Amino acid sequence: MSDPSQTGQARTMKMRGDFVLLRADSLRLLIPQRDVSSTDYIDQTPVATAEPGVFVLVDEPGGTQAVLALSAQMDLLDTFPPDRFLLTRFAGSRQGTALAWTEVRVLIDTELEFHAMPAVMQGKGALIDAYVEIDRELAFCTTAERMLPETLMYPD
Amino acid sequence: MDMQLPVLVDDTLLGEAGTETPALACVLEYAADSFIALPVHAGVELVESPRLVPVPGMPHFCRGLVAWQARQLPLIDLQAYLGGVDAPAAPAFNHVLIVAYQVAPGLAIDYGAFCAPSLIRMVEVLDSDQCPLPVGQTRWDDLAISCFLHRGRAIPVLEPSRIFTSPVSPAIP
Repeated sequence: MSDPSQTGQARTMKMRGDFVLLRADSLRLLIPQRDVSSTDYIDQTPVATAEPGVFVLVDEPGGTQAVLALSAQMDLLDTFPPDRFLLTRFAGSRQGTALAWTEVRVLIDTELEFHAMPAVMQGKGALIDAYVEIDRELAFCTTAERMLPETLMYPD
Repeated sequence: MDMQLPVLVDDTLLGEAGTETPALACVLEYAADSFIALPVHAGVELVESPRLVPVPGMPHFCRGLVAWQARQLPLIDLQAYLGGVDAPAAPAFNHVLIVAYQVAPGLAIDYGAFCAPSLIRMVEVLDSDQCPLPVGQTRWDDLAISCFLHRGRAIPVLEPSRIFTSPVSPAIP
């Protein structure tokens, strides 16, 4: 997703495109639809691994699938929440790791008003660069690359 | 824009102006016995219990975005911002102080918010009250445009634009 704060002086811009709205507890994220390769139901209980915050689905068609669950602050949760029953896999080099969500909504050809995140709110990781308002609630704009940095990726 | 702040007028300085013309400043006690001042035009509104939305990955001194007049404003905890990563969070607060700032002449007015654990005190300041910035854990030089002595305390006058455009705490590690 392009960064509205980096496009000239614009602090707010309307953009039409295909997006995916992801919800986990109070966390609402908006990512480009092209970042998502597939969405599935989680029909088994994820198994904890020796790596804190990393779970696996052992009975997947392609073998074992690593899956992560995020907190409202986008930290890894050590306990897998029972309400995360949807799984997204990501495109490109991030396809080995999936994230679990409570709700996944695909927004096709949708125009949204993007507001650049104030500079002071952006931490070192620059996870969030903008926000939008959907159904009177804020959703924070990010990408699969920022959600799943290299340190969080697990091979197939 | 509502420019009326529910303030406490500091009566100890009334009538002491003499021949000097006093200026007004908004003084905020952001933590116990810790004060900053703002130019009077920078303090816009004191809002009670606004809706607050935390932002993932935000710095430790941010509390989230607060809704105000169809905008979402960054809310800064000054105790954590000025004190660094080891500073405790701000005391419980019911209000936030909306502040206005301008990054450069000619640019649009922008807004931000500070946690306000106490009411704002409006004080009169004389040129003769000017004093050096405090020496301590905070790099006041990066944030303050002036400093004045009030009731024996040196109170830095903050320039809000320097806070809301910088993602880094000025506390000395």
